This record gives sequence, C-alpha cells and structure tokens, in this order.
Amino acid sequence: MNRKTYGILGLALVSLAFGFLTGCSSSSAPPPPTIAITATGGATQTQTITEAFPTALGVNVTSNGSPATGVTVTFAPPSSGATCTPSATTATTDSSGNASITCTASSTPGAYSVTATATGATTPASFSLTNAPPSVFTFYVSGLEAINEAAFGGPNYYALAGAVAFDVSGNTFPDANGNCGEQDYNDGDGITSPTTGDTIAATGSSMTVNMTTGTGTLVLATNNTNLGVAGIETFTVQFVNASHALITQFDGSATSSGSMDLQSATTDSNFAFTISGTDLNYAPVGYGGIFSVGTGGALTGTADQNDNGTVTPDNALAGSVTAQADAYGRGTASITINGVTLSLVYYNVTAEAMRLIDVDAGGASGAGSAAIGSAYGQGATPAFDSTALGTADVFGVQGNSWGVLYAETGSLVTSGAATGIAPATFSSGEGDGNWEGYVSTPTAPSTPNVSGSYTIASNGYGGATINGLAPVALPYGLYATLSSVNLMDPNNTSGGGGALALDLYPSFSGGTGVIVPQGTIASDGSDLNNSYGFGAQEFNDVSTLPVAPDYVGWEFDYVGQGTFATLALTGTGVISDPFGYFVSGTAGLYGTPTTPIPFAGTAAAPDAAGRYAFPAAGTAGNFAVGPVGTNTTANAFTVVMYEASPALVFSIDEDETATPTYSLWLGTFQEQSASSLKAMHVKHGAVPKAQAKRKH
Amino acid sequence: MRRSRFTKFTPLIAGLMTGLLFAILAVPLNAHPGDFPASYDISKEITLNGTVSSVLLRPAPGMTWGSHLMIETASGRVDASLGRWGLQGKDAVSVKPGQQIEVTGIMKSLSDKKEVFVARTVKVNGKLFTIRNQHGIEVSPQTRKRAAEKGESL
Repeated sequence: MNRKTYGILGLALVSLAFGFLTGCSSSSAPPPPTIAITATGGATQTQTITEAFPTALGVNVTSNGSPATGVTVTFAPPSSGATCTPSATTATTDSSGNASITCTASSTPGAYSVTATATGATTPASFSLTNAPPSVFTFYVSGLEAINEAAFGGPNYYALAGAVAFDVSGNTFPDANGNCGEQDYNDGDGITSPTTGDTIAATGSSMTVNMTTGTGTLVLATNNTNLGVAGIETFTVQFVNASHALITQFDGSATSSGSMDLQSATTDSNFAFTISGTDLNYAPVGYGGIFSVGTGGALTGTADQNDNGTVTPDNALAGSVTAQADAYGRGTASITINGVTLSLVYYNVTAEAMRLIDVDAGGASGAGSAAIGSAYGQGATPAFDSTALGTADVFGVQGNSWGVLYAETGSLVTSGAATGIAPATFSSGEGDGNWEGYVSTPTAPSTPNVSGSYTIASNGYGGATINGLAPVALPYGLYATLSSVNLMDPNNTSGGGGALALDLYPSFSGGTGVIVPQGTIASDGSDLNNSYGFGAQEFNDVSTLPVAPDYVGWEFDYVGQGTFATLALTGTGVISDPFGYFVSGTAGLYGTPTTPIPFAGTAAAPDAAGRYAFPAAGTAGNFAVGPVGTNTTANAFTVVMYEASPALVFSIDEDETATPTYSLWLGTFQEQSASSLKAMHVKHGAVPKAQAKRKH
Repeated sequence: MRRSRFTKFTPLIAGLMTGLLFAILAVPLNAHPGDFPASYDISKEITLNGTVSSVLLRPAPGMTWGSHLMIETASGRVDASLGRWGLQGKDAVSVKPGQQIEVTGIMKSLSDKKEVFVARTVKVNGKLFTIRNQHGIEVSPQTRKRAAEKGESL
C-alpha cells in the first residue's frame, strides 16, 4: 500500500468510527423524567353546601422523585350536580413541587371526586369530597311566659316552635337573607309572631355543646324584639344523642320544656296528633285525633276535643294544608274541629313526625288562642287494632300549665289484644298521679292499683279508660302510631310504637301524653346503669313571683345529665325558675353547662311493674336538687319512676298537699349515646367544672 | 280510596261501648286519700253564707293548692278553696276579714279528715265572682277579661 491508500483507509475507519459513535449516541439517550402527582391536603372532606371546604386541595408534583417546579396542575371537579367551584382550575407548582386551590361546595348535596392532573403524570390525584346539607333542628317548647304580665299581674301561657340550621362545623348556616331559621311564637294574648313567622339571624345565633355531657346552650337572634331579651332567646339544650335534645328556655323571659330534633322531610300522609293550650277564652283546651293528607293538601280525619271541661269526642276534622314546607320545614295548615278553626304552623321533624303550633293571634285585640303539639305517622295504609299497644306499656300524661296542674304515669298490662280486634283490657297495672297535691300511689310495691280498657279502630282512632288511678274513672282518647315511630325521640329507630293520649276527663282539659311499649324489667335495677339526659316541667304552689296581690307563677323547668349506678343517681343540670320557687322573691336561672346544679338520689329496686321509688322528701336518699342559688341545702322531692325500657324512664314528682313542697312534675330520663354525641357536628362547649382537668 | 265515615266507625263505636262496659264493671283497686278535689259534680253544689275570718293568698300546710278563705258559718268554720286565681290577679275577689260572704260550691273530705269547700262562685257586697266553671276548672284573669270584653258572664 502506498501512502495514499493508507490515508483513504484511515479516513474510512475514522468515518466509520464516527458514524458508529454517532449512531450509538442516538439510540442510548437518557430516559424522560418520571412525573408523579399526589394529593397532599384535603383529600377527603365534607362541607356544608355553598360553603368553602376548610382545607385547600393540595398536590405535590415530583419529577424523578424530586420536586417539580413550574408544573401546571389542572383541577377538575364534576361539571354539574354535587360539585365544588374551584378558586382556579389550574395552579403552578412552587419550588417544593406544591400547588393548591380552594373549592366551594355547590348547592347540591352528594359525594364526588375532584381530579388533579399534571403534564407528564399518567395517574391523576383524586380528592373525595362530600357536600352535606345543613343540619336543621326542629324545636318546640311550651310553658309559662314571664313577660307581658302588665295586663294581668301574672304570667301567660305560651308556645314556641321553630327550626334552625347549622353547618357541619356547628356554625349557624345562613341562607341568602342571612337567616338560619324560622320560628313561631304565640302566647294567645298579644305576643305572637307574624303570619310569616319570625326569622332567626345567623349572626348572633349559635349553639355550643359539651360533647361528653351533651349539655349546651342555644342562642337564637330573632327579629321579634318582644321575645326573649330584646329578641335574643336562650335555651339550655341537653342532647341525648346527636339527633335529639331536651331543651328549656333559659333567659328569664319564660320557662318551658320541650325537645329539639334533627329535621328531615315529612313524607307520611296519615297521622295521629294531639295539641294542647288555651282556647279563645283563654281557658285550657286539648285536641287529639287522626287525620289524612289527601290530594291538594286536603285534610280529613276525626278528632276529640276537651275544651274547658266540655268534652266532645268523635268530631269530623276538615281542613287543608295552606302552604307546603319551606327550606326550614315550616308549612301552614288550617283545620276545623267541632266548629273551631285553628290556624296551624307545622314544622317537619322526620318522615313520620311533625310539630304543630296554633298561631291564632286574635287580630288587633290579641285575644287569640295558643296551643302546641305533635303529629306522628300512621303509615300509608293505617291498619291498627288492639295490638297497637304492647303486652305491657308505660303511660305518661301531664296537664298544660293553664289547666288543672297534674301528672300521671304508670304501667299497664294488656289482655285480650288480638289482630283485627279493637277492644282489649288493661288487666292490671300500677300508676301514680299527682293532681295539685292530691297524690295517688300503689299501696305497696307490686300491688296493682289500676286496670281498665281500651279500643283502637283500624284507622288508629280509639280511647281508653283507666280505673283505680283516681277515685273516678279517667277517660282518654288514644291515637295509634306506627310501631316504628319513637314518640319521644322521632329519629331513633328503636323504641317505637304506642299511641298519643288526650285526657277526656272534663276537669283535665289540656292534658296530653303518650303510652309506649314496656320491655322486660331487671329486678335489681341494673337496667338503669346508663348515662341519661333528663328533664321535667314542674308545677307548684310555692313560687313567689310576681309578688302578691298579683298572682304568682307556678312553674320551673330543668334539664340535666347524669348516671345511675346501683340505683344511685349522680347528675347535674340547669334550672329555669323565673317565679322564685327555689329562692323566695328571686327569679333565677340556676346552673350553667359549666357550673351545673347537682341532682342526686337513690331509688329502691323496681317492682315487677318497673316502678322505682325514691325515698320520700326529707328522707335519706330522696331526690335532691341543689343547693340552688343562695340556699345552703338541696331541695328535696318525692319522686317515682316507671321504666318503659332502659332507654326511657318516666319520672313523677308527687309531693303532696301535706308536705311543704307543693310540687309535681312529669319528666323523663332518656339514655344517652356517647358515640353519637362524640360524632356531633357542633361547636364544642366548655367542660363542666366538675369534669375539668385539675391544674398542676 | 278512603272508606266512608260510617263504615270506619261502626267497629269503633262497638269498641267504645265495650270499653265503657269494662269501665263500669271495673272496681278501683286502690284506696285513695279522701275525695278527689279535681272532680266537680255541679249537682252536689250547696251555698254557704258566713263571715270571712281570714284571707289566705297562699295555702297553709295541709291545705289544698291555691288561695283560701276561712269562713265562719252557722255550722262552723269552713275552709273555702278559691284556687290559683280567686284572690289574685286582675278582677280577683276583693274581700276582707269581717265581711259577709256567700259561696257556692262542693264540700270535699280530704285524706286527713279535713274538709275543704271547693268554691265555684263567691258573692261579696252583691258582686258575683266566678272562681271555677261548672267542671271545676279555675277561671283565670285572662278569661275574666275576655268575658268582660264580650259582655259575657262566666
């Protein structure tokens, strides 16, 4: 080879090598970076409709495991329905690879996903969000009004019903007008809500609850300055579970008892009902019966009336729904019974329950009527008979605060009840009654002192007579309800069945109550070894305000919480006493959720009828309340209880004329659900001092 | 379809009649402490005349609830119950010890053998006050006012 040949060969080799290397370079370039996106905040959240989710929807984007800066992240909620409105549809990652947006729940409740995608990422991040409807609670109370006394020198009857909405954080939930609820108030004597009801402003209203005890405070800022304290109403609430509370007004403007329950739409079309209050002559009145909601809202049914002692049974009920329920479950209706037309407002409670309030204000004269009550479902096709009551039952009946003051409770054993048969008997039972200090009790434990009979027709309309409880036979209207409906706690899916009761004894106008199934009673009292919310509406002849010659009030109310252990009650509560029962000449609101009043006592073991007796007032172990206010000792009461089940116990105060206390009440102990209370979406109240952690 | 009212209540009426039968046959199984103050049988009313010896806005221990007048009659001292509103509130009975009085009502025997006269009406100085209605239900100041507004007598 010559030099030229070697030169060409070398060039070719160099070219080949270059070409090889070049080709090698193009086929082994570094792989693209791995882009990943993960949700870092707010991945699972629930928020009330129309409110912003509290935690931003956050993502972190990485490239080959390192923070990816400047990457565009796209957030994609559903386009309609249950969704949320993002603050931005895209966000750019920062130096740490993070990006976030906020999102506001739409007005449609439901669960949905929001996805977040990043360029280069194959799998999006996902956020599981839920839009929750507001929690609307329906409340109702009745009692004695401590305002508006100038005309008569003493209190009026009054009734109040309404609904108030809260978000999932326990804050009031404002509507488009800034309101969170509605209510209707009526004292039948000039202080009433307008026909459209009062509004409750979200601002200024609140509810705080201690989730351990269930005790809390509800404040309602109404637009009716005649009510409460310049329109601000305050209640103490005693939750039994997340859906049900006993409540009492606690602002000195009135004293009252009632309940508050989580609201849902009422869907049944057949109902049993009772309402009680004052008639157009401001005399006590009670109505009870059944009605059906027909096409176009027509109301038809049958009702009994006990109006100031004139008892008129089996009247036709006719009327109509005049306004369907609004966003707060409030609607209106008009019914006529025995020639008396009542303008009613109803508030939905559950599919099978409503609260009713008579809002006949009486026009300019203010000489109206006022009443309050409930309606409970009977199902799409009522088909009742004597088996609507249990083989054993517990009843509780109380007069309204404007009639004869009395309370009755007891247990009844039924006999002869059968499918398709309307009449049956109360073959035996035990009962206690206190009629303004005239007290009736069994002569000894397990000694039956009552009997009687009852009948329930297929539509649920019926009646009963109880003998032995009083020296006269006591007649009642009975109105059967679905066996699935709990008459004390309508959202409770257990403990249902029974009937509403209207007192048809002439002197006891306005008396209403319930009869509910009774379960097996543990003879050692261990059924009571639970935590209870409790409350009662008390009537007395001891109160001292207003000062004579004006006539004095005669009611205090309490709610509280406690436990039984081996029949010993240890509890605390608050007392609304605007008429000076506990401290002579002094109106009092005693106890707060953080500094409550002690309640204590030790009952004897129950007898076979489920009757528990505390020792008589003045005897060791009696039912004791206090010390209250400036008192140095507790007030003693003579109290008996009847157990329907471990979940529901009725209490009666049966202090007699011959004792210095002159008081009576009908109350309940309702078993608390700790797990339910802990899951409540409410503003947390302070822990009572007795339970507060000791400072070190 | 909704059944006719007649059809619906035929068994009910039968049931109520049965219930009434049981009610009549049943015998109270418990002794009670004296008469039942809450019941009022207007057919048993009597009228007493006497002199008021004392006025009690609140009951003394052992008395029934509410206000009372102690009245000296020809047959002795009578404890007349005027209830929650008889002596209190707007348009209540105005009476002082020493005044003549006429009361209409029913005498009841309490558990401790004491007797109380449940007054339905009181007449003082020619003015009639209605304390209770014919069923024994007390008449409130509000009821008195409404009756006056309507020009009705109680």
